[in-house]
Amino acid sequence: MSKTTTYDPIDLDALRQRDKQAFAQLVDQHSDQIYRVALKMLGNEQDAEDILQETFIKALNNIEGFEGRSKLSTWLYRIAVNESLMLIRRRKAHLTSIDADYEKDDGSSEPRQIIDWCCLPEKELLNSESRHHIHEAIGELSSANRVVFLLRDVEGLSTRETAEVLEISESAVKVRLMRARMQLREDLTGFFAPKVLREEP
Amino acid sequence: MTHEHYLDCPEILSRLSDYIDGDLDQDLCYEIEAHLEGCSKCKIVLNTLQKTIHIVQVDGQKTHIPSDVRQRLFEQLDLDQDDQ
Repeated sequence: MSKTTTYDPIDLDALRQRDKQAFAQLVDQHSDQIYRVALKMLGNEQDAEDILQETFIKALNNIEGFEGRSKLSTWLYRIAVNESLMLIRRRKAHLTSIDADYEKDDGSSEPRQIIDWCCLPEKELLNSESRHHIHEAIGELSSANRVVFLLRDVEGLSTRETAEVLEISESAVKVRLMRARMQLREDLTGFFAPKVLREEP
Repeated sequence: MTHEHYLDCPEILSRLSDYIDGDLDQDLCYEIEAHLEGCSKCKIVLNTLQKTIHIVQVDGQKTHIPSDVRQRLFEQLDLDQDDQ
């Protein structure tokens, strides 16, 4: 399921010496994925752009702190995710930790709607109305579950890489991913089921 | 591995995410597959769960950084876009 993106290797020594060409290469290779994660975490283009800029400014300022034990992409994802979560927390009326947010999750993954909508054509599943609903449904996930889902299923990171970005256990990644997937399935079933019933003779 | 009891629907459903990712041992996979053969409810949940993941992945692949956002990022960082 993981997508594998291969990049030209970036000269880490050149990055540490603040070589502009090496840094431009880093930005060129990773800006797309950082923008996508920020956009889907925050659901707002202006916020996504702010997080994108903040992520690369922090990366530029802290490149000496990157020890090379993880991939550069993992390090960048960690900065972007932390910045996004901080923005979400700042906007809440009261401060909540990612774990407190997780606890708010009702923990229910019991499916309530059993209607098979797989038969709908891909054109309908991915038209602009459906995509708008998919974005809303992702926004309804708790931020703790949403970030795991985005890193695993949208960005294609492995369970281990996701655990590394979020600094949580692999078993916590699996539990949050299961809950996110089941909640999204339930939500999308509610959205697509009327279309299936409408098409039935 | 021999299970002392057959898994019921909630137990099967709680393992579908790991099943999709290929994270379960072979005996458990066989048990899930045998259950799915005779349980249309769990089968529909599996199919719609896989479809959910698929369409979100396809949607994600269509999301790219807009060129003006990219340009402003390079300007903010005082980098040249032709410099990579």
